Amino acid sequence: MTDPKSIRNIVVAAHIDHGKSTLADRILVLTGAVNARDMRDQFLDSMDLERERGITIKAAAVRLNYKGADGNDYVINLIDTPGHVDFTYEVSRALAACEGAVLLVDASQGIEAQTLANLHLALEADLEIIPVVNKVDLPAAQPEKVALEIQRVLGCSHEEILFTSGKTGEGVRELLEAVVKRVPPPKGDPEAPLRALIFDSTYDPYRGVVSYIRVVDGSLRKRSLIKMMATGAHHEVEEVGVMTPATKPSKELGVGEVGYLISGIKEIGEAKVGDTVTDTSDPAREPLPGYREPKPMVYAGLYPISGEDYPALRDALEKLQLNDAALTFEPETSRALGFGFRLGFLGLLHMEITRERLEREFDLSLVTTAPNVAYRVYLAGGDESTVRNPSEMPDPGTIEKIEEPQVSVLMLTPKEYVGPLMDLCQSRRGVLDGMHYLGEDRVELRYRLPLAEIIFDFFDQLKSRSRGYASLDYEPIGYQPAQLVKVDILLHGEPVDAFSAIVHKDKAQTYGRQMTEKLRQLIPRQLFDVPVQAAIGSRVIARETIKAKRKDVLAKCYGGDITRKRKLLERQKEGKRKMKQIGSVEVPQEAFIAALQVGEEKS
Amino acid sequence: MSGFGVYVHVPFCSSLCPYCDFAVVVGRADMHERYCDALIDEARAQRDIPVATSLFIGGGTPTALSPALLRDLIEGLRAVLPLADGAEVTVEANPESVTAAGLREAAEAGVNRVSIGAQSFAPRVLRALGRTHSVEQAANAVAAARAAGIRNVSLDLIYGGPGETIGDWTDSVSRALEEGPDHLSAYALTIEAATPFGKAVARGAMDEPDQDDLAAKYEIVCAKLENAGYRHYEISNWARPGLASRHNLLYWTQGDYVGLGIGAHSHRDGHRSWNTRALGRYLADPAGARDGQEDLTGTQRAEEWLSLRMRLIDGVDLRDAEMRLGCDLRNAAAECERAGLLVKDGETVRLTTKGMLLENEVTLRLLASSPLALDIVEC
Repeated sequence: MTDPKSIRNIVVAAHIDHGKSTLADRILVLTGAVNARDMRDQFLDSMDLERERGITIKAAAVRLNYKGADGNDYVINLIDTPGHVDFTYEVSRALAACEGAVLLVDASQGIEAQTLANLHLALEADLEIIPVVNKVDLPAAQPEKVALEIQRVLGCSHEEILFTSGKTGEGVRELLEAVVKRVPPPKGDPEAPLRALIFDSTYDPYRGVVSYIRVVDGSLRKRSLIKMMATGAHHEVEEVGVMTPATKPSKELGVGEVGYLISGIKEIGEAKVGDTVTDTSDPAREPLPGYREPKPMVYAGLYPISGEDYPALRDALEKLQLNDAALTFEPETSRALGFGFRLGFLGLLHMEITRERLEREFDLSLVTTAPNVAYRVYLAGGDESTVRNPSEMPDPGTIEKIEEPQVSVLMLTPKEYVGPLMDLCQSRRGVLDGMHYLGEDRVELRYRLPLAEIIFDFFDQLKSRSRGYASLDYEPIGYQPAQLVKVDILLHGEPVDAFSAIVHKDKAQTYGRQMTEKLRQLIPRQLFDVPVQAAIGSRVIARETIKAKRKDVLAKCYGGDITRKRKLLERQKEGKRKMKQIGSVEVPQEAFIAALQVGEEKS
Repeated sequence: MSGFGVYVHVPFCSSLCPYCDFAVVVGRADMHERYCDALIDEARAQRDIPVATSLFIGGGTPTALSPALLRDLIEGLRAVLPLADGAEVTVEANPESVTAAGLREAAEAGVNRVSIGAQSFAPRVLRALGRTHSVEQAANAVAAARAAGIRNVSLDLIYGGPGETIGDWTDSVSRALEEGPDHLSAYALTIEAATPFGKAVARGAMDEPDQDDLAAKYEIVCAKLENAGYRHYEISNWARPGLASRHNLLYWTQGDYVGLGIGAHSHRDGHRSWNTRALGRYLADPAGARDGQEDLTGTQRAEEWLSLRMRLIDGVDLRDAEMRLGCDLRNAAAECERAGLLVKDGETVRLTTKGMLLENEVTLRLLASSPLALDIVEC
């Protein structure tokens, strides 16, 4: 056990690409945790995907030994946090495991929306904040200007701000000195019943679930019997230890220590982030505050392009779920797309990452339906339900009220883009919440928006309207009633489930017109006229007609070249085999996929 | 349908038509004689050739050869390949290069049928199709054929050329009928990728022919020719009674034929092969000019049989088709009949005019049928 007085627990909070991982690598080398020769780029990012996207999805923690300028030995636990808006809750739990936060800001980019969001989380967690201007070696660096921004948002003095370069190592020792001097040591009661916070869990195929924990009170010993206070799961501790960053088993973890726990748990759902570990024989009375069930915010249908891949997709989802407690899925059948699953995600990035992992790690080709949020539907009879798939929306006549999730959106932008961004938010039913100047030319904009309005192409729009300069963060702020309707798309009178959408009533007509027009262009002509309609309930709001096909014949064969005709026949036959039947209409799956993709285009 | 056909490809043309996907060679009069010699060589190299019931000299432009050379070619071929009594011997002729004297020589060599590539009787459309002849030349070509004593004269027409109106087409068909042909072929302009038109479409410089426009024009030609007493014996072909092209019927009935010359195709009992399109390679070794071949599987052969047979107005005997394909075609046939694509007469199904325009679709629907129950196959 380590004396709590010598422990410092910190996180590094930063916007994507502001150099967090490089700086962490530098610290690892400087403290001798990793030999410079063994250093690979961005050591803490363990998944390939994270490495390519320059972000960290899973938190990790490293225990560092540091000899202070005062001659004392310190243990610094560096806890890494996921760097994206979808993982705010995970970030908040990592922060809860610390006493200090290094707020890292890129010297050329300045404060971004995410920096602010993380700062707010750190302030809420009552952490000691060490502001750092990083990448000061870059030619475009404007450290003084950025320092001024920091002073303004943090209300700190210039002297409190450190200047570093992860690349050259400049200022890194000063940073570690600031950590041991300014960040308070952990407080906790060594005699009290065990309370340890799980701030991350991963699944290891050989060891089962590995949880990353911070001991708050008492101590965690090998072989002791433990209980997860939220899930109620009981287990025996098989192994505890610390990451240096290599795992190093120890007998016991005491107050303030950060380490890992293996206890034969096979399902990650039994060791959830934010849960409190206590001793079965001497349980704590109260769990640590702040636990929350991971709650999906965004839903989408995922379908294998080839029907034979359905079992492979199910296996892949089960494997992903081992490592991702926030991922939910249930089987779903679509007439247009066949057998697939409806997945729940924390947010858009979570969706994108999941989809990419399925395609990359499991070699699956997938179709994703347009994402939607979960609606609360109140029926006239007093019943209430949650609708996660537009096609499950009850008959409009029976609905009393529909509520949709709202988010508070924080955008940081150079001031010349304020107008375009306000236009964007207003076109998405946004309500302005506030606007502040961060510096001479940088503005913080806050809007309340329906989540449904930002899950589609909001981020792309934000980037294109601000030439890539604006940044975005958001957090859910509850449900609000809205005038929403379900628009169905009917092909020859048959609804095509994949295209049903819940939209605001003022946008129903536009959606209906766009979809019917797209499908008219994409669906090949049939032997008869096929009406394509958009309807709310039984009321048709848009209509197009796919005119009957009149000609499909080869005029001639070139001098006895029958082979050419036969090959055409074989191609057509193969095409017909792949057709999906919607009522009497034959539609190639590519048409559905194309229509879904067209829907993602920038409006 | 039994018989055996010989196709001879003469690739030479005075100019290149932008829609044509045949193997063609522009000019090169210096090569004509060598090429004709090579054709005879290739004919001589054939083994186990049955007596031919038809000889078709196509192109390209066979009449681009000098009358004497064309005559020598036909006589040379006949000396090597046995021809049945009363065999159909066709020469394709382009209006700009046909003369009565030339055709008389051909007739003396045994040609009894001439197919004239009139294409259109609208001057604007002729130009758009890249044709160099005039409307008068097309009319004169028919007269020349008659003067040469050729009894069976066919006109080829193309509809859907760039800028062609419905009126242009209606008039073209009327003008063609005024020439009193014995046989007519009307082909929808088809854009092939490797042609100048195909490339123009690919780079967006030209529109694909409009399918509705083509359908309307097809219906016009069907109606006019039926009124004029022609029998619509194949999707794109009409003839006075008894004058259907025996050679072309071989293609639609999976008959056997040998093709000589560059790019020519042959078929013998499920074995299809084709010659190189390269003139140099062909001239170097005409007997070894084969460029590719395939042997059809039983299923491929049966499906191909249906897709070809459906093109003929005589239609398909359902029992025959079911035995070949091992499928129960009744439901699909009934469905197509309800859609107005087929008529069923006893056990025979044949395409309606609407069905002819959608022949691929009808065939695919029939081929999508489920297998016959075993006991039916056995009986």
